[in-house]
Amino acid sequence: MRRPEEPRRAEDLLARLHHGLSAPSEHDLRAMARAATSRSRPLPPPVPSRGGLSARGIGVVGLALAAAVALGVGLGTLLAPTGTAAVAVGTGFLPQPGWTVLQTGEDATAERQALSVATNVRLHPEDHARGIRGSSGLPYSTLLELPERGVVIVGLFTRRESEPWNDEFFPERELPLRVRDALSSISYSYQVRPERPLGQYELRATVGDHHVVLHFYFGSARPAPQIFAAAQRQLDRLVVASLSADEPNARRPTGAARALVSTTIDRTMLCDVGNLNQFEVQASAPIPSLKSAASVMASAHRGYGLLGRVSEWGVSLDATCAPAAAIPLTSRGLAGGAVRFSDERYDCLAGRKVLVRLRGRFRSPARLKRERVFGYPYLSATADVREGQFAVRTQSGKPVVYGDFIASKRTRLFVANTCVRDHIR
Amino acid sequence: MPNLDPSAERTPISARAELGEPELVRRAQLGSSAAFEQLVLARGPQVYRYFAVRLVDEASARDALQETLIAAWQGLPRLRDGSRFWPWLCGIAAHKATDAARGRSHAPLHDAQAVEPDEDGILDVRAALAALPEHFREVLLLRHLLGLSEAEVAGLLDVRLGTVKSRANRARKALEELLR
Repeated sequence: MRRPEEPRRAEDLLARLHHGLSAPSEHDLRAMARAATSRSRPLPPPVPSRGGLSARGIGVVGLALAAAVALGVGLGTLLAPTGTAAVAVGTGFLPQPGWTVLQTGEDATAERQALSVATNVRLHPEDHARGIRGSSGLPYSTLLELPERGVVIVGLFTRRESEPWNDEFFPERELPLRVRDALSSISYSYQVRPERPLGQYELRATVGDHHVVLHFYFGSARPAPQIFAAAQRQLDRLVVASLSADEPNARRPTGAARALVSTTIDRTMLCDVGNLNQFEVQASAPIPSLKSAASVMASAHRGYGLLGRVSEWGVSLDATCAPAAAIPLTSRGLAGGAVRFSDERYDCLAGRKVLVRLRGRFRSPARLKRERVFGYPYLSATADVREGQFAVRTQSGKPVVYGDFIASKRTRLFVANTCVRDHIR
Repeated sequence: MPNLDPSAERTPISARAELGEPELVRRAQLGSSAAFEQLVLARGPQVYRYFAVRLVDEASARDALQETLIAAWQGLPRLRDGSRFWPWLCGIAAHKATDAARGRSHAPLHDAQAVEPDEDGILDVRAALAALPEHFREVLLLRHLLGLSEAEVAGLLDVRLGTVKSRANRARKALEELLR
């Protein structure tokens, strides 16, 4: 039989425990405080642009090229300057005179997105030296030097069937799309050039069987009407392949194109890391004798924990994260190098939401499948990965983590100074 | 409301008895290491005791406290409401403790018989806590060792308030069972 005071017993015992435990001396606490304040602080994120997109003066020139291309006009070039275009079937931009287009040259598949970049300036060599597949998907160097009248349009095309849960974020629209429908900021992204802000706009649409995200970058934060008009003229030359039954080539790329398409998984997401505003990154070096695989992953203190992982065994990502604009896969601005031991871990402060990009090049075609891990939704592809890359940035664009690996050879990890090495096991 | 009077910055930190925690937080956010030191002196012992229970050994507790203070110093500029400093700091501590506990072999006491009362009849609360499932123990420690409200615990653990109440109730009962 319980005594009346028993309901408080646990609390009393815990209070007694609290008072009975020792604590560091004042001297020790001061030393700890000084050790903490000797660390540098991260810079505050830049204030996001609030500029509005005025529809005034936007010239709308409908060229109705979409239908023509759907009937067989080719896109498909890897790099097509000044209005030229190779003959192929695909999704992307048909360049207007004076513009350059860099694109994947084939349609999106369930495994990977199609990407197309159109610009009225010369692409920086770093952005196309290895072709679109080797690029970050964001012509970063070109954007950093974009002149006032320069325009870059990045189109990202995803098959609806591979992300049906995102339908609500992509309103149904018809070609030609309109610049005037764009929003005056790019969601889940950041100001690429804070010191001389670009005009950054985003347009989302469901076009047929595709989710389309278009990011417009203008050299000026407030582009002139003629510049909007130029962007619209290029937008009029956007083609999104139809997957209807009478266009089997658009649905299923064949031969080498198909192999290329299906052996790379590349995703960028905006992930909520929970109210601690921090996440952990872990990189493991390959140790074949121990059957230890190379991997780079990030996890947070919420949900099941894992935000994303690319390893020799495959790719996993949190399906609750939102799709986002690609972030550069570069170690620029970060410190680090080869992972020498079995694994290295860091705790990183980066705000409530972070941009996570992972990219895996598989030895054979792989497909992301939706699954649940302890009730939490994930997208996973399990197959041998030859090379993996992983990057995390703050929502304002500050690089926090970059890691990569070559299977059975090496893993590298680079982190910002806002990350603290986690020695505790 | 934060004191925006520039002269307030010249107030010597030795007058801390007159400065509330939000003001110390504000100064620490602006870069005052002295203000941060005062916050550490005020809150550090409580956080350390929490680590001492969760991580068992002193060295791990000290390491975790140091990691927490570094993260707090670096993250302070992002804290919008200085009056929320304590639950915010507890959140960092809880995460650090989880990290530290991950992969450790605690050898927790799963056998209630192993919990013996001492000669004075004072029960070994730490051993009993170690025997509790992680999610029960965490709620108890956050509530009663760090003094967070149920709502704050819910926010920190990213669970519903009802879940916290339920876990706290079951944890208390389980603790009493172990200590009976």
